[in-house]
Amino acid sequence: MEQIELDYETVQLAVRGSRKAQEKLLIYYDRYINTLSMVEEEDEEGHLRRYVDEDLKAEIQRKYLEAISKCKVIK
Amino acid sequence: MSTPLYDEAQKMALAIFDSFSKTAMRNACRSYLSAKRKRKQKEVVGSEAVQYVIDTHGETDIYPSEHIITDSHGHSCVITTEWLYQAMLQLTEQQKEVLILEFWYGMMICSIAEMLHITERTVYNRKQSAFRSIRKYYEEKR
Repeated sequence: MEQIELDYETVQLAVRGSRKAQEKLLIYYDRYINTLSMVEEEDEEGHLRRYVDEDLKAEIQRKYLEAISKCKVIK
Repeated sequence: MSTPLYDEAQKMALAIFDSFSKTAMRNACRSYLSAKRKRKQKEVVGSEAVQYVIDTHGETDIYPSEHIITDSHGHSCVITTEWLYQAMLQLTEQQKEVLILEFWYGMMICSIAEMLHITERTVYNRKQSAFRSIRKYYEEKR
């Protein structure tokens, strides 16, 4: 996925509740969220398997969207 | 039109917002993993509860190769010990029937009497004589 630039206007719109701007933020932070959602598990043969826990990713995104409107730095 | 000072302020706000965003996401991640760990611990408790139910209400399966079936007047029962089966063979059909109805079917004496159209005293007598026969057989074999 191509990395997009984070600009003040988009953040401002997202804090004010714009769905489109919030989606842009989710795209911007997608790599970071994937890193947080990465899970390591050992399979039956002892091989280490790394994968993105989709439930965890969805939960992070949900909580983040809830938190955005609480950011007081952007007015 | 934006001034350099205004741009600086926006840059600073964006940096703070970035930090805020990452903290919010890390916290969400931590609380999800913590809740998952707690759920896992509860699952262990859950399996103990299941074990408790099995221990208190579970029944042991009886396999055909491990038991002997005897019957009397259409009432059958499962016997798991050889000596009791042999002792039951010594009984009359009527005695066997009363024992099966009471101890295998769990019926009350009054219900057995009603079912067989006999008095409760007769049921009692048949049961007692059956006990005597079984006891005699057991003592002889011991």
